Amino acid sequence: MSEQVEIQPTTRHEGHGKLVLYVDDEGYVERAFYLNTSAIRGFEAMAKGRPAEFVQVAVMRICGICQATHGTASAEAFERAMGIEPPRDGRLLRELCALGNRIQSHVLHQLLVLDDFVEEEKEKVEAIKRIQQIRKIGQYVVDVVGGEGIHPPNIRIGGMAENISESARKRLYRRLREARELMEEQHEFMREIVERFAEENDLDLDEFGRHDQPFMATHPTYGDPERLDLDRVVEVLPIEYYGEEHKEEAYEHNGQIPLYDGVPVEVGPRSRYVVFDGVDPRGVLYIHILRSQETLAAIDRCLNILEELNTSGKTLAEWEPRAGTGVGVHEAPRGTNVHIATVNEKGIVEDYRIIAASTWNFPVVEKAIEGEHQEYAEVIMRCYDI
Amino acid sequence: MSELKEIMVKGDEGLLGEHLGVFTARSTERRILRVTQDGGIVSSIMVYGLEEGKFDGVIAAVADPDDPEEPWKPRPVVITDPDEVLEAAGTKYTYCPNVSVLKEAVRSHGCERVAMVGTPCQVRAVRKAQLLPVGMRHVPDKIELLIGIICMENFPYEGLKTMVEQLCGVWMREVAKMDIGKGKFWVYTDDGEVKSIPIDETHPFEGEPCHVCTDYCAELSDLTAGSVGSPDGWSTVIVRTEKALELLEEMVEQGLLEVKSIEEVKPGLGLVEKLAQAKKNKNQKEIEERKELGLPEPGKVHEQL
Repeated sequence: MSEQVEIQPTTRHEGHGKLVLYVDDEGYVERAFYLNTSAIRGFEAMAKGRPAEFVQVAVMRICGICQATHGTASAEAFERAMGIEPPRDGRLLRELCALGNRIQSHVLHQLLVLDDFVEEEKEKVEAIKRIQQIRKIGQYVVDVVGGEGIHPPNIRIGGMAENISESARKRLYRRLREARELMEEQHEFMREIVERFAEENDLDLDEFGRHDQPFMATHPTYGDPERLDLDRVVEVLPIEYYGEEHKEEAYEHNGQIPLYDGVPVEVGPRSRYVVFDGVDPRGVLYIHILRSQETLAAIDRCLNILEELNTSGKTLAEWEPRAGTGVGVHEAPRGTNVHIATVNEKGIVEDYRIIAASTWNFPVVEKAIEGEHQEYAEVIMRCYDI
Repeated sequence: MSELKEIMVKGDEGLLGEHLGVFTARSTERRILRVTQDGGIVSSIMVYGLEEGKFDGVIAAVADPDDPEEPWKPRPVVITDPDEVLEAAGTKYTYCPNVSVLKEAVRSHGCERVAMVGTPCQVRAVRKAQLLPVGMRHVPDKIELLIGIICMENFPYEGLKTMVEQLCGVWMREVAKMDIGKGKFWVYTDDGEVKSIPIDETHPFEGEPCHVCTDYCAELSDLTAGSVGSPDGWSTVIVRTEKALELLEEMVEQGLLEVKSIEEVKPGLGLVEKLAQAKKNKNQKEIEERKELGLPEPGKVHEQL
């Protein structure tokens, strides 16, 4: 006889969600539902009939933590739709801006999950201090490169509105080197607390929260629409995905569920490592370790970009509106963020579709929770940065 | 007590704004004096600040007198190299949106200690932004020094052009320097010609917002500089904050500034106070008239919303 457990709202993650668990007599989860309870805001509908320049800026407002990725994916979509080629330095700066955002978002999630692993006050305070220092540097990158830390206005269709000065480049380089040192420490810390948690709770790191869904990623640091076959992507309504027998849960899930080849796929840091590094860590707690490893990689990529960047180069392409459809893909901190834009010859949006990064992972979280004890349900959910 | 503290005198704070003292000064460096309007105080401070690392960026107005389209039209720039400061030297009698690049200085230039020179209205705008940094996140604490310039009124570019080309009969691109003093607007050309018109004739070309401004000496700045009250080639300096005083003392000690008591020179502080009073009286009257017509009072618009 299975019992139903509801956790609402789920806490210490960035979005809004609800967990519905069917558990057996011993407390193990037989069936899990992870429902997205964020209200529908209708960005796709709002975009229709408006100029591309407006929409590219507006869609950044989808999220306050992860705005650079929406701005970037949208700009990429419009550029492909209208055949615009951003200058090399514009592309580099855009990547840099989004990576700054990735750095701060990744460690922010480490702050949110801290309570799952650490009890001692002093250890926690030290970690929080370190995390905030790293976040500050991540935000500084977005501030300088994007022109504003939240909803960076420099990201434009055609590239970036402004280049950075030579002195800003040097300053960014210095601060990112600081961030690297802190992050190395933080990476060690994350590995340590995750391993300690597994040991204390007698969990097998390789088996805990394992699921057998495929992984999807398009690029280690930026985003590549060539690697995303949209013909294999389908977005279904929750009622279609969960079926009539679970319509109560289905009706609570806001938004559509994207599937690749008809099944849910995992996106995010672990997927990027699986696809591009060929590793295969199946236990769900590894995501924490890979996320902090990816933050280190992001800092390294930032330093590389700063070396490559020509601070007196052109960053913004001039363009004329043209009819067409384009797909923009960007690897957000949480996973593959897809924007699909159709514009007419005047540059007015005729159709706009967004598959936000987190939405891919909702059904995957359910698979990861199923089979584990209900007391770990939220811990597993928080391995994914949703 | 430092040399500066000894010679500083205090004026009427109701007219000059709160201050620690006033004195008159000029730069001792020939390269600066050659290009500046009066005593080269603003340029000297900027060069010194950048060279000594007190500022890592300064905002000033640069105009190209030989621009084929709009000669002498200033544009605001962020300067990080002391050698470039002198390109911005000299007064431009027209608007230059310096505040517009303040955020850019902090963002894409990555500056953390910015100095800005501006008219009283621009200084006020920056102080407001510091109080309530809407759209100016992370900017308020990066402002190291605000240098105000004494200002009676300003001219829109087209107005200035009309004054120079139609009233003085000189092409803008031939102008070497412009000046206001002794009741006249002066234009010096590249080949040594000097033209002038009485200041009364320039009034129609003044900017409309200047008529409701009662701030003559940039009362919210860290220090104010201007030619009024000092002899030719010297500048009157009003010091308002300890930070500014310290900087100026250092510069005097190192022999970069030559200073005198304002009481020793003609026309002296009295003229500054007289003109400040004139600006306040005239524009306060305009404000009262506008209020009578039911128009919003400048600076108080929010109270009526």
